[in-house]
Amino acid sequence: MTPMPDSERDRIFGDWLAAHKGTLLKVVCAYASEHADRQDLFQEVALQIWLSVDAYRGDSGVKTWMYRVALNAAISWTRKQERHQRGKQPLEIVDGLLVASGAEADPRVEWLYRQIAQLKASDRSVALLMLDGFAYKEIAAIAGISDGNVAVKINRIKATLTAQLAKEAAS
Amino acid sequence: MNLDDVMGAWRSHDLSPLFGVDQTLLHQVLRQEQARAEKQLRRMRWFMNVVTVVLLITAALFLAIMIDPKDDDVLVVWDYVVGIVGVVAAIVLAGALFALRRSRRVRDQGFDDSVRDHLRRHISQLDDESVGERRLALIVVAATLVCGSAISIAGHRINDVPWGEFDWSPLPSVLILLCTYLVLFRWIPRARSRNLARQRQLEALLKELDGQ
Repeated sequence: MTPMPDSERDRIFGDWLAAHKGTLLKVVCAYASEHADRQDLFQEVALQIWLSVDAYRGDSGVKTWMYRVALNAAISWTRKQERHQRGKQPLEIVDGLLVASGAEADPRVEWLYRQIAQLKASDRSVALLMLDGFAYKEIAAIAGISDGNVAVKINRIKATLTAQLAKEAAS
Repeated sequence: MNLDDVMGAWRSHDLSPLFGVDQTLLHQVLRQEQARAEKQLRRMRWFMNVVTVVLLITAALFLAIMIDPKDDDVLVVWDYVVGIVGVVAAIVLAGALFALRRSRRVRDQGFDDSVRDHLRRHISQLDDESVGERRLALIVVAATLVCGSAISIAGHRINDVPWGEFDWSPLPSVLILLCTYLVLFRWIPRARSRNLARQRQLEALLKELDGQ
């Protein structure tokens, strides 16, 4: 198969990014809480999506495809950080790539990000897809697990969130 | 505030206005990453090609000793034995190198794009890095042995030294020992320790995803 020319890949990537930047940011903010980490993860997610443009066959919607690639990148993202922590590699964060405007999100949304950050890394992906309204079958296909497993995870996540809401309301 | 209320807020929120992306910088970073990946790939291909070429030259050297004696040379049975063993060894090693590269390509085609398969692919890549590097290391040691012997034997036979009067040069032995030391005590343990912790972490993630 002939590789796609870079200019064509850049054009498609630019269109995807313009249309679905919000989706990528959701994944980034769910998996990284510090701004420096978010810049690093955004860079990684953007790179993986840029590289995946060739592989997109149109079997699923672009949003689903980007979600899939972004979640895969996020779930295995810790590598660079770990190397940095072991002193093997400087943390090469490209400053200025992702600029926070300083505006604050809806407090309910901020609360949800904090709760998602408490979940196990694999449950975070299911939680994000559930919150964005993906059907069980789609979540199962993206995560690569059974529908039954998705149902169990979603029930558990909803129960955790409800219990936390009740606890905070009581206090 | 109840769960439906929170989920409703989630679905209607958009983070895009809260973060700006520097498109020029992003493209610059993507190009740098691409160049870095291509450089790494080129380096690996170059290494593999050099080892393959050295092995094939070695095979040719053994063949030359066997089939192209000087007029006054009398080939003894050992010339044939060494020639055949050398050619077969060099070809087997070059074949092993080719098989190693092919198995990596085939392995990557066996996974789909789901999160679960992404984790499995990643684990398999790390496992392959450890096992593959061990195999590659053994090929390099074996190649050094074959090449070292070939150079030594070729040198003697070109100078018409009879088999019984070979003066074995220490150079190939030193090379082989050095190579074995580097491979066994530096290269393999480093690759193994580098990957093991990450592999365990990914396996734990996979178990979590499977609900275990």
